[in-house]
Amino acid sequence: MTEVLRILRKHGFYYLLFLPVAGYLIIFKYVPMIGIMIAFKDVTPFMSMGEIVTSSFIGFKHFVNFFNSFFFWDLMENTLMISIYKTLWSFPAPILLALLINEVHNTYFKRISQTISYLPHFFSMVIVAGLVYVVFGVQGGLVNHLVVLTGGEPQHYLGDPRWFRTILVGTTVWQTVGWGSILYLAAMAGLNPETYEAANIDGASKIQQVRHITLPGISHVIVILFIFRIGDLLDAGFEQILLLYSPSVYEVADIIDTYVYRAGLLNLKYSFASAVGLYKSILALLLLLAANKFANFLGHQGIW
Amino acid sequence: MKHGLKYTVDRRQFLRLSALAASGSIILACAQPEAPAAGGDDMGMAEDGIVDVYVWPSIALVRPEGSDPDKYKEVQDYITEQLGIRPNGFVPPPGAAGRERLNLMLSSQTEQLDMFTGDWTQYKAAIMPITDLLEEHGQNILTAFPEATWSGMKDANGDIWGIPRLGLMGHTWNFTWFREDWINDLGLPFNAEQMTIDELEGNMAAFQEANPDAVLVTNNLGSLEGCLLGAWSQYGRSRWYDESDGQIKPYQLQPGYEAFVAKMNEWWNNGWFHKEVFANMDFEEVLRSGNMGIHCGWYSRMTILGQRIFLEDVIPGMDFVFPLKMVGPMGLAGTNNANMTQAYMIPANSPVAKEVIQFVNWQYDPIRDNAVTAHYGIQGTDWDWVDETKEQVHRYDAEAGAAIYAGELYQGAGLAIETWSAPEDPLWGRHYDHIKKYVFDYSNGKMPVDFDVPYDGAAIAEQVPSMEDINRLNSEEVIKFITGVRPLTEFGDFVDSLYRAGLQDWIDAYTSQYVAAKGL
Repeated sequence: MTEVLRILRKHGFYYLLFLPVAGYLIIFKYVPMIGIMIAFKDVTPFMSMGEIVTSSFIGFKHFVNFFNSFFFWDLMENTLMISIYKTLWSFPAPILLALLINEVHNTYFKRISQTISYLPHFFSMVIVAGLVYVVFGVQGGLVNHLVVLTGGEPQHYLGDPRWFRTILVGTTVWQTVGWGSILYLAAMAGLNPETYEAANIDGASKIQQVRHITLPGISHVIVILFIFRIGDLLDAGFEQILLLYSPSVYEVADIIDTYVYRAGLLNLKYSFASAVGLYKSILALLLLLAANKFANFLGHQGIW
Repeated sequence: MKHGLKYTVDRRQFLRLSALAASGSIILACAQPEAPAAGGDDMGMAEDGIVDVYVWPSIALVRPEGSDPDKYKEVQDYITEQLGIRPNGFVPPPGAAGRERLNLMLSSQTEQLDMFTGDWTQYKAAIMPITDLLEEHGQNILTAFPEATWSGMKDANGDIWGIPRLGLMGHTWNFTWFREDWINDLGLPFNAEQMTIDELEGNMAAFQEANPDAVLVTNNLGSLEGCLLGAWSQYGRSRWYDESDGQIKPYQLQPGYEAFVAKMNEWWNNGWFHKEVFANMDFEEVLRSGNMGIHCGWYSRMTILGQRIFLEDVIPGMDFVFPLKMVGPMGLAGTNNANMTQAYMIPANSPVAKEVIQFVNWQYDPIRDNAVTAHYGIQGTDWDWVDETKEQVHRYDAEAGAAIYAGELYQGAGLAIETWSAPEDPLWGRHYDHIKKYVFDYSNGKMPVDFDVPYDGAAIAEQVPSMEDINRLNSEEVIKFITGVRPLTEFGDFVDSLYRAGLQDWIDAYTSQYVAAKGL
């Protein structure tokens, strides 16, 4: 006790500074975890907190209902496939963009191109969805306009299962590539310029410099962001899909989140929605742990 | 050097103060918010002795940001003076956020709310029955609706849980709208009383021959079924009672549904449907393009959206007309729309339930003035009757620069009040005229078989955990059949997959309640 008081007295100022952060974490991240109990109860809308706490546990009913869903495996497949496609394309894209921007020496051009690439990040998903309709719409859509000009028939791309995921992935890359490059650019800025000078003197080409200096130099950032991305693998982009999908493309577009939105939230089945949310969180945690372990195995530091 | 009051804060002190302020703000932010001006006691009575009631708007406000404050107060004061009850409205955020805010208010119970709208069977645990209150304080409301509509508000015990919001509607999706100027230009047949599916097909073929981009449009699969399914099936878009096994079944299992799908597939292959019709089609954009030849769908797409475009004269001469009845091999093509459980409800914890009913009853006064006041504002300032019949309203607040009352206190949107009067202006006039004429006219569509059965929606949801799977299969697979992505030869497989997804639970749940209600 005395030891604790001594430490508090010695570092009291820092603990005080940490207090708001701790408060934030406790109130907004830990206290809501009490809500996990909803997944194991039959909570009806508008029960008071007291009623929720005192209502009886019903076990894993909502989990079983979800696992027994006719579309369970479809939902898992869609969620993972869309997320993996997005990761495959949108994870390396910012690294590539950062490498390109890093090689630009004209400050004016560099800033303009950076600003343009960051811009889509600030568009709300509703705006992005609107733009997608403008580009891919049957009536007056830019792509279909070009198709017709070249003698083709207008296609309903957003209602075609063959094209839907491509549009999702393309939109995601366009929206995230610029903003995602910021961290890599910051990491590149921290690399020692003398290393490049030495490589120059030794006759290393630009590609060789990127391969042997830049990429290894920012690899720790890449690894950490990749681990986080793996942890988010079950988040395939709820808002984006909800705004763009329709029954015609459910077979390739309906993900866990959109299903829960329809089956759980629209019908006020909050317990079911919580159960699926908890299932997703546990899977995400497992994925994150596995990715971190794998990073450690490859000799990288990981996130801890 | 001049010495004055001087106090400096060093870096450490500044950081300490900042940390304290941040901690304090977190604690304050987590404090329980105070209830609004519900007043000084538990009975919702304010300090001036007047009871406050809080009502959620029943329709999209005339202006999303709400009324001009002075105008709102003027209307509020007028009603308070008339009734001795002070109504208070809300300005909900637009779109889905509005429903989220409402649900949050209902569940958190930190703000007083005394009336809101929704499906009463979903909210039953959070609302109160109002049978006695209506009997005692709501005679105007009770007499405003036909018995058929009240049946949707009652549970198996006969208790009334809400005031009808939509009910059984004859005016919504059983009309097929034809392009009037094209019919006239091409000399095609049109009969305002009745037309056949064959005539529809003939007209659509002629439209497309004259304009290769001409399309047939609907709002979604449900609208198409509501408008046309009855032409090929006995019960139309309605659950039906199968005499052979004594079970209630979904309309997709009804003889004739496959024939309907086959015909729609034929129309799709003809290129009649707009390509995005089952996705996220922009109805207004298609209408503005001037290529819409036929519309099978929700009435207000024409009476509001369409009317605005017609008035703008975007495509000179463009307008749409509909026959009262469309008929096919199995009789009437349309099905009356049964939204029987959409209601105005009173939360179970409302301290002023009696006053809410009195306030709504005031709006339902047959002299009609009160309803229009709650909707448009003060008579003589914001609106007036066009003539003594009180069937048309002239709105002054629609004139440029006038202060706006947005309708926050109106609790009458639905069936009854909307049939009383229509605004004089050509845009809204067409819409309300349509409602007035057809809302209670059920003769133009098939009557849903079980429209008067008070299903317990919560119990059905409990018994059918796979409801969403069944819904998804019905929409997704039928659209595939229509668009030719899946061959119709697989229709039997589709039915099998419905059963694998839990359709028997669905049938059992509906059948047990239907049988109990009908005493079979």
